[in-house]
Amino acid sequence: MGLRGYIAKKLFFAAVAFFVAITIVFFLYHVIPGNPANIFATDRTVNPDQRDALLERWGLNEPLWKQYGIFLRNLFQGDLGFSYLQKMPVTDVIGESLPWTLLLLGTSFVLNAVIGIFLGAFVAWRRGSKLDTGFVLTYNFYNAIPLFFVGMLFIALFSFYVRKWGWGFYFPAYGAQTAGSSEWGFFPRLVDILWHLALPLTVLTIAGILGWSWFMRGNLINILTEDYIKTARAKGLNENQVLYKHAFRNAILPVVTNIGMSIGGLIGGAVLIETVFSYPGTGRMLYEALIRHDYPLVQGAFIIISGLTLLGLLIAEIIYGFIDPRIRTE
Amino acid sequence: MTSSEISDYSSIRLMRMAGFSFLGLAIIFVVLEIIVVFFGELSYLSIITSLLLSLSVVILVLSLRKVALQTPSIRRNVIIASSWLIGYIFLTIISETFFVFLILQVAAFVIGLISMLVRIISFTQLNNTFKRLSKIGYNLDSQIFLLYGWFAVLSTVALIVSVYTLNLTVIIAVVITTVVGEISLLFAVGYKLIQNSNAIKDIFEGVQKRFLDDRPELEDHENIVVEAVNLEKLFPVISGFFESIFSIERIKNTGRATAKYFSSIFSKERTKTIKELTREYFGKVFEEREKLFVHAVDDVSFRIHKRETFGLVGESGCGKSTTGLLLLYLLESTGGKIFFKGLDSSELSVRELKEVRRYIQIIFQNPYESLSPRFSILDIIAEPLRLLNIETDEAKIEEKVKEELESVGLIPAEDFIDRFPHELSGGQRQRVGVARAFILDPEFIVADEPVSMLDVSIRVGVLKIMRQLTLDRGTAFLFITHDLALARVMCDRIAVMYLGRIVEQGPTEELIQKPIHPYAKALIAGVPKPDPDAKRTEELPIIGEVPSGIDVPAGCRFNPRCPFAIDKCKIYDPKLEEVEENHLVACLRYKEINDM
Amino acid sequence: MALLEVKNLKTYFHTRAGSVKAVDNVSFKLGKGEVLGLAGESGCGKTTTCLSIMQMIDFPGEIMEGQIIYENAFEVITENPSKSFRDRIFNRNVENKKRTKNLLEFSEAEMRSIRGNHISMVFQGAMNALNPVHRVGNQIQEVLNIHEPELEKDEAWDKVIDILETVGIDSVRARDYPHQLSGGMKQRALIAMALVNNPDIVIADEPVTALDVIVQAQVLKATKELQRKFDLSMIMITHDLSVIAEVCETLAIMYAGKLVEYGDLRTLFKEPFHPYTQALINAFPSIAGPKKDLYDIGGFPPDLRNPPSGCRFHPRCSKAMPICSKKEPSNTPIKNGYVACWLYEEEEKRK
Ligand SMILES: Nc1ncnc2c1ncn2[C@@H]1O[C@H](COP(=O)(O)OP(=O)(O)OP(=O)(O)O)[C@@H](O)[C@H]1O
Ligand SMILES: Nc1ncnc2c1ncn2[C@@H]1O[C@H](COP(=O)(O)OP(=O)(O)OP(=O)(O)O)[C@@H](O)[C@H]1O
Ligand code: SF4
Ligand code: SF4
Ligand SMILES: [Mg+2]
Ligand SMILES: [Mg+2]
Repeated sequence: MGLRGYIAKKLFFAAVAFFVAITIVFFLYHVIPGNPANIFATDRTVNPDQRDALLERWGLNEPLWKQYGIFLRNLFQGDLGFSYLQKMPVTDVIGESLPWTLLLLGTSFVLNAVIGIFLGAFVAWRRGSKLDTGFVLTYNFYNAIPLFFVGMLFIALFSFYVRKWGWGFYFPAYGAQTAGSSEWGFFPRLVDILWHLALPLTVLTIAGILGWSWFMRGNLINILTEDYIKTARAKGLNENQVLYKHAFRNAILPVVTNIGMSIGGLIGGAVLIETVFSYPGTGRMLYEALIRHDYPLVQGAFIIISGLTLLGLLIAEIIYGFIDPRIRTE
Repeated sequence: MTSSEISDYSSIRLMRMAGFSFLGLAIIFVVLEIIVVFFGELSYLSIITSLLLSLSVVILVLSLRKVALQTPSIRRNVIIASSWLIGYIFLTIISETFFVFLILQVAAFVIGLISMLVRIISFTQLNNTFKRLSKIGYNLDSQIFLLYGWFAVLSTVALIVSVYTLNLTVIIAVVITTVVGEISLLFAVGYKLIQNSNAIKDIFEGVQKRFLDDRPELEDHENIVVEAVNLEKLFPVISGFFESIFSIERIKNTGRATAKYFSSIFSKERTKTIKELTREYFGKVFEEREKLFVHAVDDVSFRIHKRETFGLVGESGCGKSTTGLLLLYLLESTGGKIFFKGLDSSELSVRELKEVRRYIQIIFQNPYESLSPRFSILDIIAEPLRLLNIETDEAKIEEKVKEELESVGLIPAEDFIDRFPHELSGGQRQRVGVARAFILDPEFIVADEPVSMLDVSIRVGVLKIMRQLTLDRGTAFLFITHDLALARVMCDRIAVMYLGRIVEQGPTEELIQKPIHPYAKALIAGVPKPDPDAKRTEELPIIGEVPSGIDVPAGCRFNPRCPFAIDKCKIYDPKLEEVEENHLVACLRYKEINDM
Repeated sequence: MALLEVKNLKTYFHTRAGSVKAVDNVSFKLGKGEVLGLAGESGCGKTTTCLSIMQMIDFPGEIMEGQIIYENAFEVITENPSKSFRDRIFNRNVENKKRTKNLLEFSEAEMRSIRGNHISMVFQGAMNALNPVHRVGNQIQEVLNIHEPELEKDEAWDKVIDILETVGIDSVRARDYPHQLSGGMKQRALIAMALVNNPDIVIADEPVTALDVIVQAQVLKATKELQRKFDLSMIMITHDLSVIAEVCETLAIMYAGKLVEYGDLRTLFKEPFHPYTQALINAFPSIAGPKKDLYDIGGFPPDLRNPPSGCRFHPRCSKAMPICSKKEPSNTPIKNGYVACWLYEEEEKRK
């Protein structure tokens, strides 16, 4: 089986997994107390015409399996339902918050991966040195502190105390941009967004980098004792070539496998961080929707999240197929 | 069902139970999370989950007891993991109880964190256990466990901490993020276990039927130390997690067979009855499943007498080591029976098996993997003594270890007992392995390439010790080697293996001077001679290398490489035939080839 | 004229419990087109000797003294200046000053241009010696990329295909990954890798030990043919005397870090001088001829941290004399070689 067959297979599996995931999400939120139909029936703020139209469109008076069919049909058409709390389609609500989450997550992920892998390789290369020991200590220390606690600490330090001590510079503690900044020019706006992004991103990224580089370090240290490294040296390669051509790629393999895992962690982290920093992303929106029983929104958010996670996994598997021939040629 | 069959099945059933309890755990977890979300009821949540979790793990461990707990290193691992797990439950309960009292909340918090640490350790230990298990043939995905352990820990830490913020929104946020991950991982663990138990069960069932049909009568109990009857070992080859849910290949074949089945049932000119067709259909589907196994050992029978050294020779990968492990009960066979001094191993209780194992020892092929790197040489060699409570006095143990070390040439012994394996050369490590096997004065030793890592000068010493044991105490040996010259010196009888089958078996000199099977001929011609003038046979008739054990060639397994193969060889699978007294050969054309 | 001459080589490993004298005063010569078999028991320093020639001794090992004279060494410096910018800066003055044939005086960068190019090595344990994530062909081509950067890609690939076919691997397999090859093919690929840049010397460390007899015979046959074809000089390390009997012309026997006997293979096999060599040959089981019983050398391998005084073999030697434990024997010339044993030293020296 070549690479193409391998990718096709993975795509197929990912599609199946996605289908299963949305099915679970659907049924989960129809069996719990306070199901959507009741809510629509009792919510006075929804105007009766609109209510009827919604009940009709989503078949909320129909039996569950029929609702499921309707749900699938609507999903296929890109309709995730209507958030009765925000009074607009779920797709719009998510569409508003998703870019922020993607900005946060995407940037963090890329930084994690790139810096983490290279830092890991570097400390592995210098194993036993002071730098390495320092790294190990930092990793263990930082890992022992819960993420949102770090977040709160950062807010207290860089947003509150900094101002209290009268330093000229501080970071905002909430929001993704200054109110009214949409009228500013491109660059001032970009700077504003980055300024708001700085604290949550840092908190999220430090943990990620440490995790990734820790993993990478362990792998590389193992790989460097392999026989083929000796062979590479005997060919006349210099140390850099040995490291990057032979050791690096092998060490990176398990790291890639771990991407799926780290995406789950990242999303979890994002929910926490967005909550702590009042960042207007999907994560914060999700928990607001939850405590206020806005089921269509919750459902929509879960679908998006599982979609993203599966996408990440899929990409990881495909990358794995590219770098590890044993996987795809078996 | 007889008691012996039940014991075979019980481990499978337990493993499946563990799987289901993990699935159940996943569901209970969902319920608990929902309770937390909607009723804000959090007390004792962790207690319940941790108890359930531990229960599942306990069942799982029980399910592995037959093989796993017989292997000392695995048993140690399981014990460590379980004690950590108990510690974890204990700490969780304390922490949750304290939590109710306002004054003790800080303490509860700290204890909660500690209990999380303990949980990580216990799961890491479980992971190690599973890694070891997969070495002896269990096809378990240890990574899932580790992943689950870490995920659960991280999420629970977040949960506990978030509780202390007394902020409902934070709590909910944490719960939501953990629930998806935790459930899916629990599900994966459960699924994996069930799937494994199914695979093992299939193998068991298929083989048990076959076995019950032809069990030969035993004779001469006294003299036979070990007897293997129709021994079989299939290793399931399951690739990834996704792939194992359904392999496209399997679905395709099953689909094709199903289509054919229905079309022939409904076709007008049907010749067979529906019953026949159905049997055929299931046969086909089953056959597709068969392909997913490596036939490491397939229908191997032999007897080893007292004072006898029985040689097993053949190319790499033909199943020699697997046979050895089966005889030691280190691997559970998928078919056939093993009798140790007339006792059927599958009828023995765990305790009896333990007793029997005292008299059976192994010397491993690879001294680099078989010695645990964190044990000193003293500990490694004394391990059997301690485990079986044969000697409790430490001074005497040390005395005995030293004696044994000296007898295998590690002199001065004091210099070695405190060293660790990595401080020894390959040859020295192998001698440690030999010393470990000898220390219990066993009756039967499986020597798996015991001297392949040693050079001649030490080799002879070790071999002589082995021979001395045979003469003095009547120890029987299964001597596994690919070196025929060595087998010639050491063995009384030799069996030549090819792709999981014995193709020729006979008294050493007779077999080496006058091999009958084409493969045995090639093997003997290929042995290099320590004489510059006696060159190896210039043209070796055998081409290529051993095919994989998954796609075993139809007919005679040797036919793709055999220079004498004819069409008949591609169809009929030759059985072992007695061509001379005690000399068995499995070849359709041995008469023509050897002018007999 | 010897192509490679090792003179009084000493390599020690400095461990906590004292120095392991893994190679102690070893000297031998390797001529053009000669195949030298290096035999001896495990741990006697065979691998260490060859790693010293390649200068790939890792910490805590150290080459204490000696010379490794490589005849084509001048050529190396002029023809192959170090490649990287940094190396060039560091070696500029060295190059002008030092014109020696002694590899031990070479810088690390200069050694790199020798490894794989002039002297290549096939390591013990072929199963893991190929990188699992690169194509076999590319791994072989890499040698060319390093040492002949001016070569076009296509030309290099052609060379790779060529060499693979020479060792008996079908050219289509060049695009395979190591896990797709069987053990014997991997071993052939490693030999191809060692040969691709036409080295003068190939060191093979236990090249066939891990293979079973049938494949072993195939690989050895291919090796022998290649050696003849390219007129290679080879050092073949093994503890299997029958492998040496099959491919080598010269035999060197090591014992406890020392070379105890060195000479023509045929002569030594027929009439070994050194008591250790005699024992070794006798101890070897054979499949041909009548069944011999096991012959035991007796005693135990020495501890290389505190080797026995005098002749290191004396605690195990059946012909030991009083002087053997007191004074070290020197090398007595025999036909095409030497032996280090008091039995053959002249009478007056013995007193
Ligand atoms: N745990 C396992 N899972 C799957 N397949 C296995 C496992 N252990 C062994 N096998 C397969 O079973 C076959 C026989 O292996 P075994 O180790 O018995 O060979 P062997 O004759 O001892 O070879 P060698 O001389 O290399 O030691 C091989 O094809 C091997 O790949
Ligand atoms: N890294 C090291 N640290 C300490 N001692 C070492 C190290 N590497 C090798 N030695 C010692 O040096 C000696 C020679 O080792 P070497 O690997 O050269 O043996 P060898 O002749 O190749 O043996 P084998 O046939 O087992 O491969 C041995 O006694 C060994 O214990
Ligand atoms: S049965 Fe046929 S193929 Fe098999 S060994 Fe005999 S002649 Fe060869
Ligand atoms: S020098 Fe003495 S001890 Fe050494 S080998 Fe010769 S006779 Fe034996
Ligand atoms: Mg084996
Ligand atoms: Mg070696």
